[in-house]
Amino acid sequence: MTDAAAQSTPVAILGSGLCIPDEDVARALGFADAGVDASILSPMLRRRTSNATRVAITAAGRAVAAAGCNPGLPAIFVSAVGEMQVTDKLCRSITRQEFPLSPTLFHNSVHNTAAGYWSMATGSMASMQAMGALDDGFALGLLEAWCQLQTVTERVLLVVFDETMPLHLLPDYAWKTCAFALVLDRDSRDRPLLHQPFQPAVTDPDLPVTEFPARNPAMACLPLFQALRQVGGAKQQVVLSSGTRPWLVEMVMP
Amino acid sequence: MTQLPPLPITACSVASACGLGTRSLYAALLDGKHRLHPPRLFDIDFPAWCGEVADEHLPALRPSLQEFSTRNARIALAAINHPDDGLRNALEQAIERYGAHRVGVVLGTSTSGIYETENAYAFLEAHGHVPASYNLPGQHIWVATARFLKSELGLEGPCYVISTACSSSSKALASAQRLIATGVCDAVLTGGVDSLCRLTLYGFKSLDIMSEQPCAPLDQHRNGISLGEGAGLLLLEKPHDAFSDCVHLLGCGESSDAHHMSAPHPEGKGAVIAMREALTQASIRATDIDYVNLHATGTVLNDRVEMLAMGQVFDPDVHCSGTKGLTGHTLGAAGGIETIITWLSLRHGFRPGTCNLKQVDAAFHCNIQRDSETDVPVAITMNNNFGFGGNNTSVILGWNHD
Repeated sequence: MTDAAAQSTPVAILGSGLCIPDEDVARALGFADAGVDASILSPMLRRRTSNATRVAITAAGRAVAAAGCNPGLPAIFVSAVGEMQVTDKLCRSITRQEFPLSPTLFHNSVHNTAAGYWSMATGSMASMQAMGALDDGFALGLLEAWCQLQTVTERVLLVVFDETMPLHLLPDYAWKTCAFALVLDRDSRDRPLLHQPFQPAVTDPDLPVTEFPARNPAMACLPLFQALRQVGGAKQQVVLSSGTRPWLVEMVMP
Repeated sequence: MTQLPPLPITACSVASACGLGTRSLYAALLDGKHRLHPPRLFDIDFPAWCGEVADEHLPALRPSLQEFSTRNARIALAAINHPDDGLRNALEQAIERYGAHRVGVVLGTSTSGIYETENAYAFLEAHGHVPASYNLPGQHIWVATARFLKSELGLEGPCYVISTACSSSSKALASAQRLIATGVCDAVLTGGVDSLCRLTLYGFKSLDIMSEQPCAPLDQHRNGISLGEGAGLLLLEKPHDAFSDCVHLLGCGESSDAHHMSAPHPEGKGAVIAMREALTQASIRATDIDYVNLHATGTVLNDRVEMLAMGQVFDPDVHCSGTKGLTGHTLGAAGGIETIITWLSLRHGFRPGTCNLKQVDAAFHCNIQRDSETDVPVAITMNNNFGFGGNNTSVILGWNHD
């Protein structure tokens, strides 16, 4: 661990939530609810949203409820490809010259679609970030959250999601649509604490190489969600990304 | 909380319809003639004007990085390579000064390599599969061009992309600022890049906001947008005495409208929050701002709401203009390119005009510049960018002299 990361001011996890298709995995992580529940969206907004957005918003709503906090906080939505199914429909329409395009599909194709609908659903006028870093998405989303908590906000919502890829574009990537969310707080100390995420300068030969199911970037959240199940004040390094030189974070349980 | 100190912009460069490099952009801002024409990159079935980067300006990627080959990456590389601006050289110096792992990349983009994906779909329709040369992780995925730049330049710090539609690269600046302020990085390559594609042209057409003439932001007869493409890249570094003569990033403001996916808040409430937050972060008052580069897209509604918001933050005599009539709306690159326009305003002591503006909308009460003005004192500037999803940003630059 780098000195800077070891000495960094930690942030606290106030609440977590997820939305994944495999209920057994959800139960093993301590979550009774894993299915899509986008009731935070009004019926009109729900009709307009894609599956990816509803899944992301489901996880976000659960994390905020678990944290017991007001949803009107800044949020960071992380995804490798965002609204890929919407983009797929638009690209097919363009190829077949089926014009005009659907205006709803068009504004739903931006990477910050889930962030936009979340702000409308919650009335939050705070900053909504939408970012991506493929395999490093969760790690760098957590780093972005950590930086925001040191500088511009006391509390932030982090949502990591990805949806099923059109297999004609990427045959080996059978991603299952899923989302994980955390509410992070700068000042709480009686909760699980996370230091600054870091990437070691060299490969650690003792560290097992982590690969996630079908290389789905959002599944990089699994080790941290598993570590949250443990109790007692142990310090541990949690893997945040795949590959031979993954991003890591030091976590301290209360 | 960690303070956000003023951060020096130690180099920047730009590629747009105005050519390569900040000098070409400055010359274009002074002459005020638009660089728009009907799209040449592909055919469309309706009249529209676009600001394209000339093909002869686009370098090829080196053979070992072909997996990243997109128009987007080539536009970014053109800006990196421009010799007069010296951005590549400045990055090499930053690596030498701090170490490659201390230099990050946070790039904004709205559509990434979707132009290549559209071409792959045409092939898919004809042959039943995408072409062998198509590489979704290297070309389409949001972080693709940022990863290309990381590899091309040998950077080893954090590398991610911000994609919040038309505010993408302004938000990238804010993230880069935080990475440096918190000590995670010593330097960050930031700003943004976007390339023209059919999806945005036909998409904005479906919303009925594509102008049939070169767009005329802020004009009483404005009738929509013209799209553009380009890159606006900036190198931010941690404060140092050696950089005291550089223009500094003084503050950023970010907010949401919580209103609609493609229409702004009717009273400009989110825009007001972003501008006020940027002023607070920069520890200055609205009256300290010498020039505002407006988002000013040229749609009836967007310009009206932005001016309503301006009226809530500024006195009516504030100097402002919109520059999308010159470059077209470069979407995810707009924050980078227009922040560089404010950088030029500071460097040259000039206020850009509003290209294609004939008669200012009578409802607007700010001091909108129609023509560029030179030899004027400019110490602090603001750049506004607002995007789909109600995503708002304001970026304040200035000299860091007291």
